[in-house]
Amino acid sequence: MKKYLLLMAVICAATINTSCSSEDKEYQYGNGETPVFTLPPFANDAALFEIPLNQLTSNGASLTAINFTESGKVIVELTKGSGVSYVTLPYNVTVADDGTLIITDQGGNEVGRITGAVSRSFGNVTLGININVTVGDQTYSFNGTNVPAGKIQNAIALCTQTNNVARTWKVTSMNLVFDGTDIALSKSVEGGNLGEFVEAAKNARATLNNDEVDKLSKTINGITIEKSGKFSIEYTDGTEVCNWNWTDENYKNLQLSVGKGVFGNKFLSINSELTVDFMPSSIALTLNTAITGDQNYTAILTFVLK
Amino acid sequence: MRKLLLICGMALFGLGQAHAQLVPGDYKLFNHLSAGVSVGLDGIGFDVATPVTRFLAIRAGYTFLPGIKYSTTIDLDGANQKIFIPNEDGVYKADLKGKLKMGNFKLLVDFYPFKLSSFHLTVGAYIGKGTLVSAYTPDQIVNDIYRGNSGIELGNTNGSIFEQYTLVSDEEGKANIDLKVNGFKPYVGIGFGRAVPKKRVNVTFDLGVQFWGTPALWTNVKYLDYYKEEYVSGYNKVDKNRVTNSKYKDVKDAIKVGEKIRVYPVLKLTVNGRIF
Repeated sequence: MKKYLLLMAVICAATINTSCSSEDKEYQYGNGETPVFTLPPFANDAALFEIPLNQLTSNGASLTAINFTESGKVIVELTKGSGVSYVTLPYNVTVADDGTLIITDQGGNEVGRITGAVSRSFGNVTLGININVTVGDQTYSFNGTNVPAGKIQNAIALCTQTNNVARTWKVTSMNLVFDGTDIALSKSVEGGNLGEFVEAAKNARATLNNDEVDKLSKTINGITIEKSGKFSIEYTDGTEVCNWNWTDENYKNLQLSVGKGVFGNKFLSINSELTVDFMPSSIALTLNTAITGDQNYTAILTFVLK
Repeated sequence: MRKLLLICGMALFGLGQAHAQLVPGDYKLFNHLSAGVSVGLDGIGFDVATPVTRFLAIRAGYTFLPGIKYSTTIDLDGANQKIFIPNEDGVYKADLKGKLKMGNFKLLVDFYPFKLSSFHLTVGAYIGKGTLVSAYTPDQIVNDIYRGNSGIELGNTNGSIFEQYTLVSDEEGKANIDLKVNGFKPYVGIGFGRAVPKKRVNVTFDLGVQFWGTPALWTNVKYLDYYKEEYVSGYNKVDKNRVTNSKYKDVKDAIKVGEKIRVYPVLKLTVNGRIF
């Protein structure tokens, strides 16, 4: 009998040991270090050229800036009257041996070029410009030689984080979280259609007028961040551009600031601060904003960019 | 219970021909076969047993707990009402059903260390589906635009984006949550009585534990996967370390308590009848 009791005690002891709870562990992701992304093809030659007003004109519009982005995209700034607009051209850019920037369409056909020691030179330059810009039904032809321009390349502090973010990103998904005293609700969507958040915002009792609904009902084709200090969002119906810079030397948060043209909507506006989270080969750009209406919520909007 | 045991015993007694009491030399592999019916904390069971040697016997069988079902109604109130579908009365309530599932095949080896005693040590395993408890809403409760991608934020909305962890519905807009343990459950125990009776019929007693592993809750969650670099939404094990929203501390505490229940006691009586 004694040995049976001893055996039962052993079994109980064994089960008690295996019943001990596991300690809480903080959720871990990544290895704590910023990954290093492969540089995009035009990273070393990307530049912003600012052209004086009325130096190059066509059909009442003046070409006042042309961006060659790190991903080889071309964004032009048109000034017409008091208004400034931006167009992301469906072109790519390459650099010839003599530094000439060759602009080609998707089929590889040359549609423009910029000459004048543009590659790897800084400060004020003199350009030869030949480019056509089509906006809706209107085509602008900008041609000129000896065009003075200010060249801006690395306006942002060079570091791993800057090299990582400076390129054109495609929005693969977005996530919106509402947080209030009574709910913490989230919604995610594939792609960059902000309009899918309109109904969610209304259901969270946000007050949206027709203009705000129109501005929200847009699809983001791409987000471009440049070392020249430009931050642009290409929508299906146009491009908006503002300025950006890091808020501190941790290179974790970037601050948007006013540029020349119109920028923003209910969720993403001038003076927004965005948090950058790096994944192995992509980034999450997160904006903390507010939804106001019958109820007030903080809203966290995240773009997953690849 | 007594009637059940009596009926089972009589049924077994009526099977086959009468045999004399077994002697030690009779215990050889597959020399004899017995069948048993058990009842205990592991449910109702049926098994067959055969001796290997005088000191060892093998038992195999199946045990199950009769399906215990539970129904209740949950409130879908609060500001989240916009994502939920009201019931046919226009009230934000939903039916929630629960079911306890315990059905396992078992393979056990009895070791009889003492010549003149039926005391035995038992080792083996219970093998079955891991789902122990299922709770679900039979009807769609979440509006179409929120199915599978919107829900209750269990994570830290003030921390990194990777700390967000959202409880969501399935793709049909229904809620479901399962409590799972290991499908393979080692067993160790002691008992009295031989699985293959010396006489025609006997009763055995077993006391032991099943090792379940760490119980886990499984449901639909959504989060940004750092390595996949995308939002993932689907049926996953709930990671309690990601439940960091102070509003839902009770959920995390409940998971922590559940994780402590890693063993299950087995206490049962078996009526065995020797077939040959």
